[in-house]
Amino acid sequence: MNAIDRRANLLTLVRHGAFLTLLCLYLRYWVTPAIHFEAHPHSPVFYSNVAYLKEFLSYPGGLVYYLAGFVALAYHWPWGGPLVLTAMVGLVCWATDVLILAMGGKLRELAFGPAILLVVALNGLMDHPIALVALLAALLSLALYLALPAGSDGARIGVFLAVGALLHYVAGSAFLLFALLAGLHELLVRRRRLPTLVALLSMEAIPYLGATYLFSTALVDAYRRWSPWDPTIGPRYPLAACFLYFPLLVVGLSLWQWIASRRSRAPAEPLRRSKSRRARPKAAPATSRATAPHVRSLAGTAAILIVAVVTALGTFDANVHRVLTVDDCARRSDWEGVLRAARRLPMLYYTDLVNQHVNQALYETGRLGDEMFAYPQTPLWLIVDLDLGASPEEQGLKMQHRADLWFQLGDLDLRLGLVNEAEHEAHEALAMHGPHPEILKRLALVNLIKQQPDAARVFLKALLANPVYAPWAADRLQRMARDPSLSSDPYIRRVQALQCRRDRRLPRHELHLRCRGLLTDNPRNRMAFEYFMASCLLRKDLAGFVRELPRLEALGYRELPRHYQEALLVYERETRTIVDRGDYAIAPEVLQRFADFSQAAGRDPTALADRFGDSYFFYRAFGVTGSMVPR
Amino acid sequence: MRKRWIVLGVGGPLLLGVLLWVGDRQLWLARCRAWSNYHAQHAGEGLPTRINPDYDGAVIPPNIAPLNFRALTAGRRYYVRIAGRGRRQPAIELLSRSPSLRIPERPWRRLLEANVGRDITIDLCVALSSRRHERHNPICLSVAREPIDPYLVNRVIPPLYNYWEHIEVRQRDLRSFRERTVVHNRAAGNACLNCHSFRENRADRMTLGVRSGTVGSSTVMVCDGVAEKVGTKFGYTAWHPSGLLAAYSVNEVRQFFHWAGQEVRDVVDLDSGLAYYDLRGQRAWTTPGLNRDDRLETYPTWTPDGQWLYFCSAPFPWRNRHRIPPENYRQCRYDLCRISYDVETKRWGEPEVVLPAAELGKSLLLPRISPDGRFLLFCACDYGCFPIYQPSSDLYLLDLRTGRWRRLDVLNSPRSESWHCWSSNGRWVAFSSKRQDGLFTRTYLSYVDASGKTHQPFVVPQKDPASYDSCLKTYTVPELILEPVPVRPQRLAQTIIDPTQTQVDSPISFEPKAQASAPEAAWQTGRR
Repeated sequence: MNAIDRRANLLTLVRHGAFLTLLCLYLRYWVTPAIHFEAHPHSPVFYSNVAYLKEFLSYPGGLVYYLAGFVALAYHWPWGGPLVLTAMVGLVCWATDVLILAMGGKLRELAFGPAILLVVALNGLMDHPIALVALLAALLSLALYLALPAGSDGARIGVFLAVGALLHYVAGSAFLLFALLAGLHELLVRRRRLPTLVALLSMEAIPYLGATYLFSTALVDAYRRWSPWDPTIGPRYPLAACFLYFPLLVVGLSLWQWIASRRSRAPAEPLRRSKSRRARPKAAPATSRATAPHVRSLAGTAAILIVAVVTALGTFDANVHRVLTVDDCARRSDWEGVLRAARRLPMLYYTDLVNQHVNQALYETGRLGDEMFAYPQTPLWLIVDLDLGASPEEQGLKMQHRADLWFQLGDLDLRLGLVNEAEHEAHEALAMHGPHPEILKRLALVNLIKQQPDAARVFLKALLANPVYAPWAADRLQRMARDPSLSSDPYIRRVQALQCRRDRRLPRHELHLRCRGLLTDNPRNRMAFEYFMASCLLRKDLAGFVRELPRLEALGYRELPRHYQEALLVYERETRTIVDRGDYAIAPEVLQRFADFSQAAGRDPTALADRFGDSYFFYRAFGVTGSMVPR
Repeated sequence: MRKRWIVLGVGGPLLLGVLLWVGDRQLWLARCRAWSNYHAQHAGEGLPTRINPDYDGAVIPPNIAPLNFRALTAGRRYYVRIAGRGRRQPAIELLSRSPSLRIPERPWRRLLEANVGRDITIDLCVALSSRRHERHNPICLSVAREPIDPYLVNRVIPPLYNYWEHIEVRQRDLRSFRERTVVHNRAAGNACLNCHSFRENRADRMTLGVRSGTVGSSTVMVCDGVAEKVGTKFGYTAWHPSGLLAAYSVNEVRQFFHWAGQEVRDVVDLDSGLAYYDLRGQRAWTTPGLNRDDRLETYPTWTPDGQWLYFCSAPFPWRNRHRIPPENYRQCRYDLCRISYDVETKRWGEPEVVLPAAELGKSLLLPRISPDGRFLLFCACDYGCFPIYQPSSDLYLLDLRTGRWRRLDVLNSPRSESWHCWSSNGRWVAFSSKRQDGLFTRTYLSYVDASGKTHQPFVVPQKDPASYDSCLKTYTVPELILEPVPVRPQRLAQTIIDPTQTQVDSPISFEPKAQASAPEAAWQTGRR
């Protein structure tokens, strides 16, 4: 290796290093993969037991899911996800570089193309690394295939079929990319017809034979599992671009070579692999060696970094990131975090699930009766409603589209005391999403609350095989050895006390009836009381609201929450009655605000939103909160 | 010279390691044997046996796979000796560091063969340290003379409510731990695979109900190794012994959920009736005796001579079919009935009540008749038609010769027992039970002697004895068969998704369906 080569390699190394370091920092501080991994039910999960592994051995592509689950364990730690993703993107770059070298070694900067597309995919919430692991498996298999000595056609076909079949079994339809690239390489570089034909035919034959005679998989899945065309994989377009990039690269480079050779009028020699395995570009004339490649490389590096930064920042949607942050904080019971993220969320991104988390956060921080109208509210959004829709078919469709919500619903129901509902929701999530550790954790808790320790033990023992959740499960099992139902656990005791005792059947959207039922079973259920009152306020049912006010004292309220004061003032004004408030007083500033609002009545809501937007007066008058008014 | 040093440097420590390992093992083995022999002479002084699964007192088939188990006492080494009564009997000795004790298959098979009709004992000795040990009272098993049918077909699913993703019908070879997929819904358009049924424990006639919003609801019928799709869904199906027709139920099923109580799920048949599919004419029929307007009929089963069809029937208890659950669903109890049939003339008789629900004060469900035609095994629960969701569901045996029935206390537990079947020789029953934890259903086997006495049941053994402890799947609808299902899983799946089917008009139709709320909607429309 001469000095020029050494310098070129060093530059390549520096370029890759700089790119990957920046990528890692970007992933850590912007994308934060952990937030959309653990809160997301689609994330692949990993259990170390053989029974779990066996489920993935019965169909092509199963192993890549299992591997992705293992890789995704790293997401649990703040730096784990960024480092693992960076390493995988780095390997993709390396494998692309190998492909470019095999194509003649021109334009090695193009090795960063897939990395930039993957950044777009990661920005677009590629919530699990399955597609990335599958892509990597295909590219590493290709690198292995390209590294083979030229040999005879027969030997190459044999190796191709062996590697291809294995890759199809491991990574599903990522095999198609491998076969296409290997075929193109055989055709355009080695100019061998038979291996090309075999490679292209195998794209049809291997998945077909596997699905028909070997595996329990649908034929269509044999061709599309874990590819960008798989409906369970997202986001599709950047991933599809990434998969298409490689064949276009191979064809483009060949075309470029051909045009270059035509221009120089040199006989068009087939690009054969050199003895040193990698064909290197021919050295430039001695006079230009010292400066031109150096400058070109630096310019190339700068261009790559600029393109990468512009693409990354240009495709990053901070609001989607905030929605995920809300989910993640709610899962971790970081209620201040929920409110912080939700406060900066524009109305367009403010979903019913975000609203449910916000209201729960307000309740948990003791501010539901004081601040709920500072956030967007509608009567339908106090909690997520799954019951909307007229016919069973419509309802079924809605449920299917919102299946992910099963994963999110249980926590609130459990805290309300709707233990059977929470169990139902967790089981739906288990059936649809598989044994995500968060689901198993909730089911263990539900069964402990229901004093079914044997069933709880099954979930806890299953969790022992997940390295991240094993300590939590082991701790619970250890405590259960002394206290089988964990009756000393404060959370379990609290929910047991609130647990619904009478069998009723009330749909989810009739929250006020549910809460009233819970209050009948247990008048000390403060959460049911606050949600009932909030529901009354949102439905503008002030008579119902006033009827339940006498419960305040028994529930230990020292003073009337602000929105309750506002609602009382509205009620008294509208009905021209005086409500017996007992020892609870209306604060002077609330009285003053009510007077101010009354004076300003009749004005445009936009003009009043800044001053009164967070009050019940405003909601009562306009049917929306101030934060929902476009300004 | 250098080579020799390398050989010595690597091989020496390796050889030493092997010798040390063998020596240590032999030392422990000798120690445990001595402890075990000492205790054999002082029988009854050991501690109560604590193993999982608990096989103590079970009668086992002579062709069952090794009963691997896990010792529940923590120790450094575990010594197990499995032997028959006679001194010259072959014995199996295991020494393990792990409490999971896996019995080698070949010696186990030899041991069972040598002890058919006799007892075998499992001695467990747990070494707590090199000087201290704990010896447990021996576990006693009886090896029956009659083998069990070698294959067990189960539906393997997570505990399902409305939605499903993975449903699999799996076939287990009970003589070993080999298992294979009969059909997986992953390959079959994610359809919901319902109950499977066979004719007289043979796999030459099989049906499998399929419910799907995408590939349609249908029945896959396997006849002599050929799978075809019938364009109507059979509910609970019973093959006539002749194999010429299959009786099936048509159920308007609704699921609903309880806010309180241990079991969240419940099921009600708003309407149901029985029909039969004639393979010769490829048509479905019914008869007034099978589908009365004033009653709900379900769960058909044939006598072995094919002259009687037994089924469950309840008076139509609700007026408002649009309310879910119906107002008095807890009062709905099914009688055990039967109706005669002549396969030659294709004539049906009049239905008659064999055992009224009022006699037990329970709902009588899932009748299955022993191959000799003498016993009828059924389950009884407080109300309704779906015993697996009823913790009160227990197994009962009706002697068809004397008309006497009894609760099978040996088989029952405080949790749900249901989905039972007989082996082809009538000496074994397989049934589903939630006794382990109240949530996950496992398959248990029990010996039934000629007088109808049932013996201590045991759970179907698994290679990893701890597998049930963390298994999140339920094993339901156990069916014992003599030969493996003759159709490849890919072929069965292809049949399900293939639009080609035998068009069959259902002879039973119900009034417009009651509207379900959202959670029930997917379940009833067959949408995952």
